[in-house]
Amino acid sequence: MSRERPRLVGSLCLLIALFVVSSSLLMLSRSQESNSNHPEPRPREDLLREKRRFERENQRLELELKLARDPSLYAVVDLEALKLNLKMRGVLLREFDIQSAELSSTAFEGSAIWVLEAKKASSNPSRARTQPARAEDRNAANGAGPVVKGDPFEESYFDLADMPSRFALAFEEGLIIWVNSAAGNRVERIKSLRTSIAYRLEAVAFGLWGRLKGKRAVSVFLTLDEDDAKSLFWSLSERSRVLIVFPARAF
Amino acid sequence: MKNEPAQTTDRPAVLGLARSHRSGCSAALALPLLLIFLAFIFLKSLKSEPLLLDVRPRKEAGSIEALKRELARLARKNKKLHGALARAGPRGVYIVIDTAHNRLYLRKGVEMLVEAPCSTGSGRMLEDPAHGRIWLFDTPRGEFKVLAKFENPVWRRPDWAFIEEGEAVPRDEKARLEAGVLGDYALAFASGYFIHGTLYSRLLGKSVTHGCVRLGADALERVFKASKIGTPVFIF
Repeated sequence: MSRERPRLVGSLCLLIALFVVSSSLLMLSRSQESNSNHPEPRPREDLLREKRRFERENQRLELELKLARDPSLYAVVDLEALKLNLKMRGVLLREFDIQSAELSSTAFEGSAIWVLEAKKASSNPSRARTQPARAEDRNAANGAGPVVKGDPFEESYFDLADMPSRFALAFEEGLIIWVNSAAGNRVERIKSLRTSIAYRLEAVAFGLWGRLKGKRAVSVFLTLDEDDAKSLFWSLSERSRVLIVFPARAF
Repeated sequence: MKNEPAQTTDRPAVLGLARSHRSGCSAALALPLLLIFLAFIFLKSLKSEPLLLDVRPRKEAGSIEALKRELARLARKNKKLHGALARAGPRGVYIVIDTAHNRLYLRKGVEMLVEAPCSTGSGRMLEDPAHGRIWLFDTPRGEFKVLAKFENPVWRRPDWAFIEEGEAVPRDEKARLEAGVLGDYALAFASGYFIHGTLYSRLLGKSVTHGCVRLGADALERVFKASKIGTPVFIF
């Protein structure tokens, strides 16, 4: 036993020494390996990100080029940059800032052209009728008497102020853009909140209806400045084409 | 015979010693080796996650060059698409009319040459009580071109102008002509639609016209002089 103990101690020391040496060698090799490998993935990731960005932008440009070839107004709704642009032939006619944008689903990615099917508002503006002047009015105007009929266009006309600032844009293929205008005073804030709740409930119903029919049903909620919302309603007409740039998914 | 047992007794002793020595040696070698192996596995397992990430690019090291080539191709395509989109638009001066805000812009590229209030279509409706014809007083929207330019234009009053005033539509063409109501200049951009001056400058900025675009005298002169036949007119 007395002869074996030093051997055992020696073996243990050797063992520990070997363990320490091997471990430190491995750690060293690992650190060298990691040092040599770390700079590589970063540029690769950057390149991939850049590639992805180019692919998305090129897809958007290709689609916009299709729209720009036609002599009609089109809109570009960029949900990533929060911009809504009205364009014709690639020329920017008007730019709106989207104050907030929400998507009910991530079913769509990249860019896509949608055709506007209908504009829906709680109160659609109606055209005023011009009544032809009566003979007696005309005679009064031509004669010595006072002019009875004034300038008809000063009385009332179809104006931007008549446009709704809260409305829905229904597109083909199961997409609705719900436009709400940013609140100003307290009354407007309450109206905006009420509209927002109503839109969300309608969107849920729209989504359920879409599921029942086995179709995609995606809602986009946009908040715009009141004047911008009215301008958008004014400018877009049924069959207008809208290029929507959906936000990129994480990759 | 004596030697034999001694030999026999020594052998096991030697053998026993040898056996025990060999087993100690092998244990002393095997254990560190085992520990080294375990340490290697342990460290390997520790860095298994980063290794997966690190190894991947190394394995595809060749594809980085391919990725760079792909990027260069995409960048070229991007430049080409931007160029094509720019070419889709007008090259020289163009007119933009915002009917929502009743503003007219004369632009060259992104440069703004003239910005002025204008009057556009009222959106009203007129019905001919005698014949049931209906007119909608909208300014047409879309892309147009300056078709003709007139100095000191004379207005040929259309049927609606008489009906609106409760007058009979004249048969004599001369009875339709009215000078001095369209301002100093007029630019035709569609059949029956003009950019012209106005007597009612106080109504500039409002949607009050029968579809034409009314402009103040100064702005009209600048637009008239800067544009030529074929100048694009974008109305939205």
